[in-house]
Amino acid sequence: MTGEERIRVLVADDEPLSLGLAVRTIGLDPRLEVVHACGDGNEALEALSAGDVDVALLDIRMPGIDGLTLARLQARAQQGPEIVFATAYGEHALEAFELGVCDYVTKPYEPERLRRAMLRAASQRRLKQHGASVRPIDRLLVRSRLGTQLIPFDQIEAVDADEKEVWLRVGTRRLRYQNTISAMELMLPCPPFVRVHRSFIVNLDHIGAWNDASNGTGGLVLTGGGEIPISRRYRRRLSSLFLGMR
Amino acid sequence: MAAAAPSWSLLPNARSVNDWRWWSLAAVPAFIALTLLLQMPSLLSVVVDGSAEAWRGTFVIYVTCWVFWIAIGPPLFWFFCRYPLDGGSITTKLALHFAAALAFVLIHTGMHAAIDTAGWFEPGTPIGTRYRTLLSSSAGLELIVFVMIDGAFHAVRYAVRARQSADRERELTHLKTRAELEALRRRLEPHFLFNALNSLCAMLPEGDQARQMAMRISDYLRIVLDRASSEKVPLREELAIVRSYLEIEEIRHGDRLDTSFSVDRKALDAQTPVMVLQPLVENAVRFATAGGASPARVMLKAQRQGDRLALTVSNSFRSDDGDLSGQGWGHAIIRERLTANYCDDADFRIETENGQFVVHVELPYEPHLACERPA
Repeated sequence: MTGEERIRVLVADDEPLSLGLAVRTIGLDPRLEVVHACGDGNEALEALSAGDVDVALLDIRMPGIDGLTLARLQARAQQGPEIVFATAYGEHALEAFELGVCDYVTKPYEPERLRRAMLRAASQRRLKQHGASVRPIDRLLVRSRLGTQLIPFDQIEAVDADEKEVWLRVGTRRLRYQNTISAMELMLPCPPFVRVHRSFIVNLDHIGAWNDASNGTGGLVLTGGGEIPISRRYRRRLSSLFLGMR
Repeated sequence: MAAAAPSWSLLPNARSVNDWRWWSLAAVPAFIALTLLLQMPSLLSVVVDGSAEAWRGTFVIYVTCWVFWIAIGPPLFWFFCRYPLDGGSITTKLALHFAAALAFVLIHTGMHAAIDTAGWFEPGTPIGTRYRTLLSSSAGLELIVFVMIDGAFHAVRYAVRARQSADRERELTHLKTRAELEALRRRLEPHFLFNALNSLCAMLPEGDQARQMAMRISDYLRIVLDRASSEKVPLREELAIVRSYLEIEEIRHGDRLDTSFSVDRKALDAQTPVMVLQPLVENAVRFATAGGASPARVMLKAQRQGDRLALTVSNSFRSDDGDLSGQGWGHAIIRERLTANYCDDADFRIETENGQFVVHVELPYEPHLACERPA
């Protein structure tokens, strides 16, 4: 799949308001496109047979064929879409994971959370299609005065941004890397990497202390020393990730 | 909770105190001690004498006494387990025990009369004479020994039973809480509730403050409903509850409420009794915002200090207010919960310093084992 091509999404939900919300939320991301919006399971099953879906967002409780049954049917199909469940109350979470379902979101969801689930499912599908030839990236190639070196992600404690480039904090070193912080945010897996400020990304595994503050003066202390500010905008996401919530 | 006891332990448990075989084994050290005590005079004489001959003689006496006890012990404990003093008619039981005491005296004395390793009698003394002499001299002492053993048996039995019933009571309370939570969950109809909140979100544009509020309320409800009804949770879970509660309060009070968390990563996996921090924080918010200070401040600190977990919840209050009577709301229950969980090992202190009302909670640090949750 090239960068130009959009991820094709199917949404199935028997509640019109909820269906509308999902379609709108997904539509707001230019990388995603809703190709089918289905009001029940039977409709979804029919739409899926067209084979033009990358990711299916299925409500679990639906009249007719419910989400779990749909997922079971798709699990047998070759080249089936990745499934993400939406449910009001996460009682089926375990069953969903047994079915090899990629993710599940609880309603009501944070819009960002839903879009991230769609993107993640799509990259999962890409990996499956290309088999072993594509491996998830887990290191960076960094050029410095000392030459070129590979830095595994787990050694990166934090990333901070200048105007045109970013700096990686690795142990006591600071390595320059030609990229924007937004691109870094997309490249580094979350968790453990999480954006905490307009110009900072931090690796949760390297946080020694979390000082949260509602007035915007909060910060993180890295285990290797050094402090990173937390801005109001990213505060909530950080706290839920740090406390291990979804 | 009643811990599963190993099937054969020298320490008494609910099952073993009703098993004569356990008693027979467990009593061996007690019998050895008892013999040593009863035969103290002969032991002292040997120590004074000091010859190898005397030591050998004493050793033989002791072994004889122990063998007698080991022979008498099992039937004695079988009797105690079969006919304990509690339950049934007390007069019948007392009569039975009296009869058993007599039998014990007669048999035990008989043993000593038959095999006289102590050399109390001239060789050749008829057994009948020996028996009568021993009976008249030591029947009283034997009777006292029987009463001691009988008493010890019942004391241990009652102690174990009392502990067991306390355990059961705690377990019942726990089950009751779980059942209540389950009932609440069913009555709330989470599916209906969260779907309704989702519909509300659908009616509001992304980024709308009302939608934010609906989201935060559903987060809070979900975390409270989901929370394992276990007695203890890792600190991170308790903090997650507190955070989702504070997010609602932050929206409600806006800039008039300043909250801050200061959490040591090493403290996150510490076990904490569930719902200890949450009521403290709720209390702190209520008083900080009622005090009129602007902005009202609520602070939470969690630190691991060696083998201790230190938690602090503090809030600002107007110092001219002076009335702190309401601040202690709910503290009694928290103290009780801490005592129930840690006996004297937990600390709960309240201080007022520079316009701050501070609650310190200190617990032993116990790491929480990894929870099973799909990644």
